[in-house]
Amino acid sequence: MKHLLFFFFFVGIHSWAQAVDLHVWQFSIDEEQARPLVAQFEKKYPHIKIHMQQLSWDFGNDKIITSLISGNAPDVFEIGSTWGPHFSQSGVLKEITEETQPYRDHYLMWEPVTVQSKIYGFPWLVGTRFLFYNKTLFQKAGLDPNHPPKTWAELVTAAQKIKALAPDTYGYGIAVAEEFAPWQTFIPYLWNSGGDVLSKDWKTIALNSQAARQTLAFYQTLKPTALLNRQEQIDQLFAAGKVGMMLSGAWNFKSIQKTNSKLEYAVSTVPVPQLSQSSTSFGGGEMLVILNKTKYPKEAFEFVRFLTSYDVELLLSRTQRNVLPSLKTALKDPFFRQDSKMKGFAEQMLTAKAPPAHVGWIKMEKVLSSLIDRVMLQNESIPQALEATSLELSHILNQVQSKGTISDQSLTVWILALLFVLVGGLWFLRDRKKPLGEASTWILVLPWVGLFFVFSLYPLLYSLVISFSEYNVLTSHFSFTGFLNYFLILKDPEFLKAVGHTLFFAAGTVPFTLVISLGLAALIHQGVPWKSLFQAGFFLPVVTSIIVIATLFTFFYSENGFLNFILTTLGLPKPNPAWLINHHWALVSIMAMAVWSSSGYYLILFLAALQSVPSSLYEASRLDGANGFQQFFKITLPQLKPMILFVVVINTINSLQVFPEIFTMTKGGPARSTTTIVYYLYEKGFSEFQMGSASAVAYLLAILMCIFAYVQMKVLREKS
Amino acid sequence: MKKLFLFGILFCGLLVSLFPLYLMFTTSLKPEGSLLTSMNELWPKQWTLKNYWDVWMSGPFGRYFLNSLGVAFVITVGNVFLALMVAYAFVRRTFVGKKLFFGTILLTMMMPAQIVMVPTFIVMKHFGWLNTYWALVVPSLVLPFNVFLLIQYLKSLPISLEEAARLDGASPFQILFKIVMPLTKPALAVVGINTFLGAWNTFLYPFLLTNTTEMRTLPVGLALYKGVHGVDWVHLMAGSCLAAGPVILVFLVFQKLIIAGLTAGAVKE
Repeated sequence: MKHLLFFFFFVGIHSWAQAVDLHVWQFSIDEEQARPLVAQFEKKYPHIKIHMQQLSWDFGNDKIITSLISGNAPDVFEIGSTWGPHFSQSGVLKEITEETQPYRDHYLMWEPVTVQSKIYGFPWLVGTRFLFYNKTLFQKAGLDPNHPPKTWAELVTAAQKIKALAPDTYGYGIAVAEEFAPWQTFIPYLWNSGGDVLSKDWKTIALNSQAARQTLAFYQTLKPTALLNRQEQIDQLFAAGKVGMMLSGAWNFKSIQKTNSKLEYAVSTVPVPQLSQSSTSFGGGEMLVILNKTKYPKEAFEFVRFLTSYDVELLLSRTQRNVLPSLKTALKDPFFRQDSKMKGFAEQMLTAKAPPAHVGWIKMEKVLSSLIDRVMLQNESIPQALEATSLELSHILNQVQSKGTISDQSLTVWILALLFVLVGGLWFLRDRKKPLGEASTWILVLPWVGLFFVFSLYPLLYSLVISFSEYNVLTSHFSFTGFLNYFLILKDPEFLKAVGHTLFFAAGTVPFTLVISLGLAALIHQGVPWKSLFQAGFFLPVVTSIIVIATLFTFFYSENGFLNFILTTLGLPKPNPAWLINHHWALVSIMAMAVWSSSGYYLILFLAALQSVPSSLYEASRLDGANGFQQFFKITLPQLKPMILFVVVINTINSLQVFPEIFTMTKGGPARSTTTIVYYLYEKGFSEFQMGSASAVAYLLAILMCIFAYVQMKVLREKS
Repeated sequence: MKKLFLFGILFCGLLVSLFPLYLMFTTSLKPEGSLLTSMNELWPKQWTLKNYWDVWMSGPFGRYFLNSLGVAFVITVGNVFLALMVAYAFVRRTFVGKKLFFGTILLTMMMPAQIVMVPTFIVMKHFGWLNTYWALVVPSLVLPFNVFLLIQYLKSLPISLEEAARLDGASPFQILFKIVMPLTKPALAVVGINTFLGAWNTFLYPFLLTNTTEMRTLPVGLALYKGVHGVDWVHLMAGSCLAAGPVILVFLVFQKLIIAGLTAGAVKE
């Protein structure tokens, strides 16, 4: 007994004396708001030091995944509910079934972090989709602004009346052509009509049902009155008072307040087919999870509890107004009774449900979103679209899991062995008559090559090894599969489509960029007034990062964006739906932007090359009476041949790797019409966690590039 | 008349080239609330510098700025010298493994950043360089593109000057830095612009490899203006305009070098 007491005493002292560093990564609290909260927690637990970092939504998950693979992940981090099942089953998260036992009944949304009744995370800030409607438009259309539509029939009638008001006013907004919003705003209707995507036991696909046909038919009757666009655009036009109704989320409260605070609108629950039914909606949210390998599980849970406490959740919900507390009692706080909009939001939250916590869901949701695109944008018939979608979904459902695991140490051994064999083989086979090279040569070469070997060759070989295996980065499940990845990818119709899109992209951008940049460079070189102004002016598009440029162009190409504005002003036709959400035009639009943003760069390369063309050549030809065009074809082109070859090769390589534009502007949509090879690769690696397949795609792409570079060099060299 | 026509073409091109940037600039000057109704206004009815002030005050923006500047500067200088050295050796010297090295350099250019992201992170972890300047600088010191470009350019230079210098007893390094480097100015200027630009705007690696506010670079700080359900337009644009400043400056400086190459080019036969 005495020993035991001593033991506890020591353990107590130990854990008290040891300073605990807790690393926390999250998306939801900005740094200014986080500071006082962290201070409050640290005051209560002086031995714990919180290192909190806010992640950006762009690539935030990739950062978490990368750090998990390399064993450098934070103790506590935030994941979206869609990622819940994947992370929960991977073994990287700490199971907290027992710890959360007392809280289970008091909080909402446990489903995404539950695997076979074990709990792997704590629901934090939650949200749902509900009906927004514009009171002013309701009044104008002769509808009762205090009586939102409760049934599908009422919704359709209201939408028609509002649409009849003006040509640029829409009755309802239907989200299309992106990853998440289309299915998230569709599935509430599907659920309300009794349909679902998976069967109860998740063993089969239940989508192809009477309920789904009925729901899609309802969507079709809405179509003539509806604005078909991406959610962000619908939200903006709703805020501008042009859209009568939409299903959307609570982020609108803040943005409407900011952009058009005079808008008279209200919220209500999702309409149902018949009045007697209760209305459910799509629910989701942010989960706090604890790393399995954390050194301080107790403290980590303590911090999770702090962030999910009544006060903190309520504070975040009140200040951000786009999320709700997951704590049910906090949802009933007087605050939610005072504010009619937050009240409607909270009401819908209580009946909201999460999508199935199936690992395949992350792929299924994209397929589900493209079902909406098929029916609404491409006018496929409902039975046909449902059939095709169900087939795709069941493929995902039937995918097999691999076995065995690997650590990155043993991978390193594999890679070093491979390197040893490669170098040894080459050494053995080398031409022994050739000298090694002078010492001064190696002084020139070694600094660069040394660094290059460490930082480029290792990653290169790493992905080569990985590409011959099935490697799930989250679970570290690993097994060598030979050429299986390559084989499967070459058979995948999605990949072949991606190759098609990529080749189309390169074929469209490379010649245009070449002609524009070379032409402009030659014109500038011939001598114009304000030469440096032109040089700088054409270069400017290159200056800003492609992510910002792509964000800007997303607006530029939108329904009410500048391009359509110009076309309307000039009386020219414009595509419907607008550029980026139109599967005929989306890729072309991105290509046009790529030409615009990269021409200035190649122009500078040509200008630099033109400096080394002796001006005596031009003078001589001028004396011979050659005009500008003749000079260009007789002197400039032949002299620039090496640079033209260089630009074509580099530009082809860059075009075949097109990614940030796609990622920012279309996420591969609509209906996967802008999925390029690297975007396909990114999806394989970072949303399906199949790093092996992703690496195989990279090597296939490299082979494709080599072929291109080889052909280009042959063709362009022979001409000279 | 013909001059005027050419000038006209160039001028139209210039308008197309600058128009989206003009939009970016005017958006950054619009008050936040008026954005929705005024997105298509060519000239903002109301304008304000508040967005710039907000961005600057929103965090240690000065720190982000200095981080970006320091990192981009070191990377640029490093690349100019290291790439010139290795490219020169590739063009003028023979050594064992030359073809193999060259092939590998080409191959790395063809690997998408997304695929080497994970192994690069692992290397950084092994070196203990996560969240340090080393991680931001060192891997970018050896950008294959620059070597490729310089090889291309050096090939076109006459060898006679170097031979003459060697006969005069110049050391290999004197030849490289005193004779070859001045002749390579236009290409080195392109390397400089290209490298600085890339380093200044790069987002993915700094975002992955840094974990604290003090280590962030500008693009990482700016990315926080993009939420999951929309973009904070005016602040993102204001931040981007601020970020564009130094790059334009660097371009103007290096641009002079490209022109300066004109006289050097006269040496060519």
